[in-house]
Amino acid sequence: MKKIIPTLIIVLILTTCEKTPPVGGCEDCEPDDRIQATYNPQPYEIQLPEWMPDPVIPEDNPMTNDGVMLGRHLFFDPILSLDSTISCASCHRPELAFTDGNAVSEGVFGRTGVRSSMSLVNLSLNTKGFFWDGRAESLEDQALIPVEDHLEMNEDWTNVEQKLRRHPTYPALFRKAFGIEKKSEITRDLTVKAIAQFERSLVSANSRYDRVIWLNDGWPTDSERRGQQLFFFEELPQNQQHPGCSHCHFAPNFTDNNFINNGLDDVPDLESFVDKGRGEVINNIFDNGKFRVPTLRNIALTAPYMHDGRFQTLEEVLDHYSGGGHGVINEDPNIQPFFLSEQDKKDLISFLEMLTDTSFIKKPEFQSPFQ
Amino acid sequence: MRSTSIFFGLLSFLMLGLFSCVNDSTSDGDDLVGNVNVNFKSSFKGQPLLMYENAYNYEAGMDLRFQLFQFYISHLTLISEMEDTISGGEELVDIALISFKDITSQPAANEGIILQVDNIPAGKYKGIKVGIGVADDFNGTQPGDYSAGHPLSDNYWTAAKGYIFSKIEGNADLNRDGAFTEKLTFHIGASELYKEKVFIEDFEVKPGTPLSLDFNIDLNNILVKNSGDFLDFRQVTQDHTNNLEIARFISENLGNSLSLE
Repeated sequence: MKKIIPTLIIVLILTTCEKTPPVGGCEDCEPDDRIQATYNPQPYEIQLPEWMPDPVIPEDNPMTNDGVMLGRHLFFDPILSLDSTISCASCHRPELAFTDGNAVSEGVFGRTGVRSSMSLVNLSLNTKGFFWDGRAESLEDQALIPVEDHLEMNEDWTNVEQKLRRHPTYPALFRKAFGIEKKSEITRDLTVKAIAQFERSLVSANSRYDRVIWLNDGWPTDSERRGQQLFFFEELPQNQQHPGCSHCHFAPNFTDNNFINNGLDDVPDLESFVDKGRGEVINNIFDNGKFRVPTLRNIALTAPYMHDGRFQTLEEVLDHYSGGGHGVINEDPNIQPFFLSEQDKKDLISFLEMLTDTSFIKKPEFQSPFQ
Repeated sequence: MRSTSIFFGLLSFLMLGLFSCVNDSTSDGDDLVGNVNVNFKSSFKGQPLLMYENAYNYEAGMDLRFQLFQFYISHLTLISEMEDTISGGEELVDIALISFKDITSQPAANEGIILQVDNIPAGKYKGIKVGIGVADDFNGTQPGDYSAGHPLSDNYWTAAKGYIFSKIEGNADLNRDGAFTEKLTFHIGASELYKEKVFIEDFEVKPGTPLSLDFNIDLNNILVKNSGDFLDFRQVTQDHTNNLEIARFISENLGNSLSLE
């Protein structure tokens, strides 16, 4: 009996210790609640053609088939939002090249955000930060933010972790993706890694432009050809006014991902921008009013345009640029006035429509897995 | 006695090993390396070049502000003392984009653009050469040949099938009335505009003591030639290398304006 009591005490202590959740773990999960699934990671190869730069994948988040699959589920699942109404896909719809068609995005309880939803395409080629103002250094960092933004998902990451751990299918998907053994190991970090993997898989490189220009498959129409010459102005005679689109939207990804003031707002000084954009992030007044140069791939599908969705059509966008801006001190010097005839506009838009990639928006792997 | 012999035997062995290492290091420096810090600063008439912040007096009663000044360098190479010609040497950098875009403050200007190069063979060098622009072996490539974020994944002319070697962008106040209304964009690039410049000067790369190579480039000297010829922004405000006269003017001056401090 004397031996039994200390033994019981030790067992009791050990049992008590076992019930202490690991750091960052969940309170309600049993620590021995092991996930029944096979971990057999297979590398996922991003399918970028030879005319595109090689993708940049973070060393701590290599892509796997199961990682991308988990990310796809999470991307389309409203489980990330407070009231289970908003998913990433609510603002990034495949059929609209992963935008939402709104000037500014709508979050939980009908709350409206302050900026337009950005197209998600060829994100592995962007090394200059994410969002319109570049405030997230990586896609993983980016995916953390909307969940707790009260204008978007308005949820708490701790709650999201709990919901995922208790979910009937997610624990197995997490184990397949990352090799974790216990539900308590499902974390926000793994969640955003999976979402980032799915987002990096969203490659668009099969537009009519790609096929005609890079694969020599067919010919541009006369209108597309004229639009192309206006867009890529290098061959135009000196001092001929030109739109200069490719200064910033250069091929093959039709963006340099830089941040510029593209002449939208006529403000008396740099403090007067309603939305200070990049300047707010890096605390440099000369970057006030600057926003990311977005890709023009699938641009015909992503109206309305600009960071605040102020332009409904591509015609309005061209009218804005042909005006040459307002002369604000940090306005990009490439924003210069130019004359565009109605035919020029049609030609430029014909060229821009060449950048639509219908195989991208219809690709089964990019659709909701819940349909 | 036996243990003492073993002790001195081991000690001798260790000493031999240590001295062998020292001898290797001193008699033959082949395996010794050092670091090189290559620094680029830009100025305008000798004053630090600050984007946006400063206005600079220019020719013929004009003032200028700048938003972007950048150029590529190719094959930055230390010329070994052993080399008879300047064709060989130790390449420090194959290609780099030197951009002063974010130099908007005095502290940033003081720091400049730093390229840190590690593991350069220690020894004496008699000079340094630098290609200004994108060398032919790179200019025949295209962004798809590189990873995103590589200097050559950017600044590419699709129609012209070549890189933009340098960019100067800013605004001109033509009458010194405070209104910088003229927008200036000069984008220069073509294989024939590539220049190589050699600086003959003794350098030594030593382990543990980084060698600093400080370059300066004065933007005024790119826009104004020694002869007094200058780019007249009342006549021309942009060029994308479709006027070769302007492109040559800028690219020749760019090479001449680069100095080793």
